[in-house]
Amino acid sequence: MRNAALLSWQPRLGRLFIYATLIAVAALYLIPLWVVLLTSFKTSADIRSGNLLSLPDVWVLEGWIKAWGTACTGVSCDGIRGYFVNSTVMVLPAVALSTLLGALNGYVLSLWRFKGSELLFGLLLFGCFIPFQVILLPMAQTLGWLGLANSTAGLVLVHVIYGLCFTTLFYRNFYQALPQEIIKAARLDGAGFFTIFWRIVLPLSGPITMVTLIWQFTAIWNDFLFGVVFSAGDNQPMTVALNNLVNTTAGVKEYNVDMAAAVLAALPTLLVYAVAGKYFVRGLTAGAIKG
Amino acid sequence: MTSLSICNVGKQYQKGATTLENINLEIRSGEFLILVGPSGCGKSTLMNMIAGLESVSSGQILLNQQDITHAAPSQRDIAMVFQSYALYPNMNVYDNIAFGLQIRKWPKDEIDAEVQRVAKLLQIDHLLKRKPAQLSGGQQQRVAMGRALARRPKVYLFDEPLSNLDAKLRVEMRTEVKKLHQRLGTTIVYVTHDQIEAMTLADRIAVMKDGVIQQLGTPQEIYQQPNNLFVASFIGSPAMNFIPVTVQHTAQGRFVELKDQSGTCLQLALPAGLAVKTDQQLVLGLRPEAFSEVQPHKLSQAQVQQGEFLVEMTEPTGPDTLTLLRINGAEVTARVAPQANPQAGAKLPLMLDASQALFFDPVSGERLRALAQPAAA
Repeated sequence: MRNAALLSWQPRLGRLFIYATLIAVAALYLIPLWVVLLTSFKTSADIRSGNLLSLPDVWVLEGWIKAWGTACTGVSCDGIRGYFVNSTVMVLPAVALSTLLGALNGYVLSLWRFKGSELLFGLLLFGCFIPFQVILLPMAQTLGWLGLANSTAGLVLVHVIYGLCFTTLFYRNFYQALPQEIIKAARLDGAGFFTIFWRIVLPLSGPITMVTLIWQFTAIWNDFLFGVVFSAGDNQPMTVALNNLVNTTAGVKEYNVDMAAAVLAALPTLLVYAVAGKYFVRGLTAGAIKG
Repeated sequence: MTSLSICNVGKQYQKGATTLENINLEIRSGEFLILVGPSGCGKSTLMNMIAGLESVSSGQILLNQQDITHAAPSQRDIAMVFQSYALYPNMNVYDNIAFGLQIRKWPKDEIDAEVQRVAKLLQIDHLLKRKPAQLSGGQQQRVAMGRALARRPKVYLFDEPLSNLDAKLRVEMRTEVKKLHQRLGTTIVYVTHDQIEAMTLADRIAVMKDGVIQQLGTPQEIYQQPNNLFVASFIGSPAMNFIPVTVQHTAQGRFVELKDQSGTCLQLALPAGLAVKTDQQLVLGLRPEAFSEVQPHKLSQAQVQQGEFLVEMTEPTGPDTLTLLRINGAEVTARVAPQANPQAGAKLPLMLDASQALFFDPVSGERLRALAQPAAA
């Protein structure tokens, strides 16, 4: 009897220990978010007097409204609203183009092999490992030649080029698992290069497209370096504006505004992950479609 | 009507490896031609070249006297059924069959009629809404054939279409393919490595090895008069027995001896006109059915004789018991009726019918043919 009871208790204790540890670690991990969110709803006086972790005395949206509409980023004081739009206008075409081109690249490199295609893929892959900083100067020069310096189009171009290495890698490895015979069958059915791509290959690419979209959206939205280097003034993305907002202090530092702006800046990526996160994991583990 | 000519076609890869050499084939309209050979013999390469999926290094391919050697696959009007079926996973059965017609810009109602016709023909009309992943292997196979049939192409290519099916279904589908061919009278080139498939389906078989056609002929020709040791060993199951023999000479003529371990010795007269010398080493080829239980009514026939052989092992297959003997040191399989009750280790009286005996040159592997009889014929 006693032995049986012991046996059933021991695993439960172990379970309890595991859960307690996990909850503690998760809580620790979430503290910054907690602080950021709570601070954004506090008044300046509340922040100065209170504890970092305490709940606001009064919940106010003051910081949020100011961050969105009237906070100063450098010389202008229109909040981050305009930059939010900038980022959106820049991110959408950059993500769409880099994903589509990556899909096309992957399609060619895995299903329409040619002499030297493996080498080309290797070189493209190499692009994933080039640090951002290395390409800043040559890229600035190139954008200047193209007449795209300090424009949204220029920033889109940079992100598309830099994103291609990753998107190509994703799609190429995904398409690698597609049976070559499907392509042969489609060719015999009379379909050409793009017909096969649009009608057969792309419809099969759901999981990997989810992965690529999330990956690219997160990377491009969160990018600061390219944004700060290749854009100026009114074209700057959200991340740069956030930096400017935090660094522009006229008198007292308004932590609630800074925090609200930070959450606003992070919101789109959080949203994307919340909506499509499960597809991300599924896409990464999916491997392939059976033929 | 449609005929396909393959003239001196060759395929060389860049690294100097020659995959196919001077292939010549004439496929008649409505003919069922099978390319058979071990893996790596170039049969699939040849098929891909006919389809236009691989480039042709030399020679010509003509379809109805029209040169299609370098035409794009879509311009050839050739359909192909693949080993993996290669159905489009994102489309349902209907769209899989309709795809080629849509690409060719058929009117919608004609596409619909054609898909229905093909689906009825193959008994898949109740599956049209399903995706390929929801079909069994046999159903996928039918859809793949349906896709090929729908376009009514000039030539059908089948690339090992049955090898992914389990044994029972394979036999069923084999029959179905043959029925379909008889009903539609289509021109079919069919690749397989399965010699039984080749024998049962083909009007003519081309046996390939190392990129060269070893023999082209009807199944019966290939079975009874193989050109060389390779063809003889590849076609037929269980395989043909090869027995080393030495030509001997007496006043009656030339003969060879078959010696069993137990001391039995049969003498086999060589066919007249066989260009061999006394003491020459030959390989005697005898199908397993050349050895059988003694059937007294046949003993009177020419070239039939009997003797007692020591049985090494038996393999009952049901209708026959394959009985392993040892003759001139070589393992020999005999096809014996189970009623004769062959027992391992015991002696068994057997009948040898040498009327289908073949002789091969042991060095070149070529079959030695009897020269034309002077006057008798």
